[in-house]
Amino acid sequence: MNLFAGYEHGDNYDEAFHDDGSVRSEYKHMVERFRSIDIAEINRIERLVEEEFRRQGITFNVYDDSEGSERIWSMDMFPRIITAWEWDTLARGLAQRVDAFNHFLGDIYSGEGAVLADGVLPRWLVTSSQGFERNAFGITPSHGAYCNVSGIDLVRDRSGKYMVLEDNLRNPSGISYVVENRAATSKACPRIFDYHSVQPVEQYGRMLRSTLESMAPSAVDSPHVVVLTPGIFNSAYSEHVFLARSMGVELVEGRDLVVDDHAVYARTIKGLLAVDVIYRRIDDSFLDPVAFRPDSTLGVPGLLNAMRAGTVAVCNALGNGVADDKAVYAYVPKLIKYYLGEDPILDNVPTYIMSDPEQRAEAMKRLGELVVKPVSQSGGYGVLIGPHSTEEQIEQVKAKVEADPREWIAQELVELSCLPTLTGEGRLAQRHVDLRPFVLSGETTQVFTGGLTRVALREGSMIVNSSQGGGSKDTWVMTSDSAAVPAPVVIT
Amino acid sequence: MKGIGVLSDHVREHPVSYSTSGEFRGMTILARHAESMLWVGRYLERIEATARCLDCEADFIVHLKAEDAQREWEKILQTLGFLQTLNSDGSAGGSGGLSYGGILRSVDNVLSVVDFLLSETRNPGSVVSMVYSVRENLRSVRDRIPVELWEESNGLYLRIRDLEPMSRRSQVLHEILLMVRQSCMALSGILHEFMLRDDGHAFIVIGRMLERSIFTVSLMRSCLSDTSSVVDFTRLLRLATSLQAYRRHHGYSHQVSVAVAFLLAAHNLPHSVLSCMTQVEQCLDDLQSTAAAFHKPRRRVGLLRARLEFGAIEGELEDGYIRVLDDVAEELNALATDVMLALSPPIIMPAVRSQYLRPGQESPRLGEASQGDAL
Repeated sequence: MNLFAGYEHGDNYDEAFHDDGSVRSEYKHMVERFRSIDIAEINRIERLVEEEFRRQGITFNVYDDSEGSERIWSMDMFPRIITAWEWDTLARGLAQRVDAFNHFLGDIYSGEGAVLADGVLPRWLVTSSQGFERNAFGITPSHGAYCNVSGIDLVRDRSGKYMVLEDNLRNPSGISYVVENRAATSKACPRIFDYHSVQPVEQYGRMLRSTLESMAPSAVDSPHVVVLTPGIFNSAYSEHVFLARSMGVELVEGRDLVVDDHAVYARTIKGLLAVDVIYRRIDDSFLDPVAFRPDSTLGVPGLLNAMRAGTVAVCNALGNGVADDKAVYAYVPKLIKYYLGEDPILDNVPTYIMSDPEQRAEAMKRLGELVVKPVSQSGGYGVLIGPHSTEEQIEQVKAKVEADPREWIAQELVELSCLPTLTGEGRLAQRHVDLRPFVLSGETTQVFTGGLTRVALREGSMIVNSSQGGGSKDTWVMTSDSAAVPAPVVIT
Repeated sequence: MKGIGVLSDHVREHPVSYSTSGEFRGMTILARHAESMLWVGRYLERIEATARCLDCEADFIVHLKAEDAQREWEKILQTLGFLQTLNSDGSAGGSGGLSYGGILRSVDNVLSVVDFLLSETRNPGSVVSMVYSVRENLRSVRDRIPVELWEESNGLYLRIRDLEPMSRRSQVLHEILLMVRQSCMALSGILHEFMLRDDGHAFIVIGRMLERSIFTVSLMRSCLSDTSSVVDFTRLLRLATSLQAYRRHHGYSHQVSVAVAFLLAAHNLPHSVLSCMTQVEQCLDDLQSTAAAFHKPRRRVGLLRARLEFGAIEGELEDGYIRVLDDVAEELNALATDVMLALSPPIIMPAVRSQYLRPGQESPRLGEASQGDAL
């Protein structure tokens, strides 16, 4: 039986099909390939992929999950294709956005605050942000690069236009899965690459290492880079391992590091070895028990002093949370204009800031049509999708918003675009997807080709977060000399 | 994490050494990683040894009378170091409510001992528990081991974790043990063929060789200390995987001191204590060239190896092999302790040399400041 049998073209934007049901040119070969595969074959491939992930221990831990803390990573076999033309625009938009964030954070944490003085961004919005870190004053990263690794979540609306849904400038995870997905696809089903000229993804480790090395304190020639992990129980531990291994650097825990005389050292069997750059995958508040949470056993006592003394670079920088605050998000287009003098290439989703009385009043009237999110959470926790919620749930959230408006924003509901996705019954059906590309910023800002496509596995669901049991797709960015040059899709 | 109190006597022996140059980088290893590697080596060897014991014994013991079977199981439990725990208080010190005493009283019940050694998750020394420990340790050093090593140990864990108790198990015991032993051999192969010969590799080898020699000596002590029964040479040598080699060297000579000398000091037998110590010595040699802390275990292993290799070990054995074995066992334990202590780098700082810096304040590098004063 054809995998596309019974495929319903709903009124969502389908990335593989036009509204009239004809196949978009970039997906022509892919759809043909899947039409010629039968269920037994696809089951075999899926088993291979799962076996591959299980054997390698590629997992994503879901907290509070009674099934045990390690869940096997889930990848759908139908890949996402992005044309070179689309990607070019996206990459420029992403780099522009991250550059603006670097300027913004430099402005705030240098103490100058020009953007506040000029009235572009209300001062109270910054000072009331949970991610605003007073301890970050006076710490200036090399090249003014605060957001060394960013993950910008993109969605496509009903017309196919890419928009930024949220920014992750603290510890975005997911990059290892991009590489592992590609490896698994190549192993389990090499033939689907036929007729496609796809850009590679395995260069990430090299890119990240050179970015991190460029962040080292200026006096150091050959910087010693380490990856700091909270340990094997963290949800993204397998990713931390991947990062250390693909860069060829040491994976350390807080207890492996020690600060003496305002410098950071690793405890090796041969004594203490100076560390110049720490790519940390733990949150600000756990970094240094002396300065932040005293109960943190994950951090390094004295690390903040070493950062202040400029003997060590900690990436991403301290206090980035103020820039990916979901209320500050609403101002990002203005920040781009203010700092770079350019129009934003990528649009925001229209957003209401609940702490603004006028905007709140307007949003409260039609909460049932909007998406309501807590500003400082990530991983899709606490999000209310109005049209998919009961009256009772909406009332509960209303009460929470009234109690602490600064903690909430509301956004217009974007009907996320869809892609054919294998369902449990062995057929393809439309499922919603988003895209998290990664941007590296050090001496230069580079956008890593492709990104992580996350897919909501339940029908109609728009929660794609891995923490909420979402799946993923291999994401292909085509080379520009691709044999089949597809018709351009309009972006903005 | 180990307590600092335990180490305080040893820490000051070696001055804090700082390095800022790239000289060690890529070659040295975090102390925590070194410890994990050491345990990986020890567990791997012990998994193999436990599986081997079970494989050799289970079929053999079923055919014995109850009291003989009990004595045989006691020997195995003693060799693996459980008997002391079992006898001491009859319970596992409240850990998970497992009654070791109960196990011992029912040692004639083959199934319960097999379960205890194979699949009892409350016993940290059961095969299943140790496979789990190997995996967790490898997980925490995954960035510096060959991918194949991680995948094989993960695979073994996935195959063995849901093992049911013997009574409800459909697989034949031998099948499971064969699978475990083959996986151990695959892991040794990967270690030998794929792993960079860095400090991490050295620690795995040290761990394996220590565990192996401790097992060999412990096996001889438990089999030979019971003077009431006739020594079963075939079983002793088979448990030490040395039967075939012994036959080639010494034919059917059943002289205790010859067998003991063979297992202690045969230079070409991979399971002899001498072979193990030669390897440990080599590894410590490499480590010592850069890390002064390894001088003490290096010296100890050197003395032991020299005694086995060049000393008149046969003569010593004729005067009483039990005393020699006890002596060697003691040396091995001391060596294991020395290695563990050397692993902990001098982590106690002379003083906390750090002060709060206000934003924008110029940092006083205390090290440089004090140098300036001296000049």
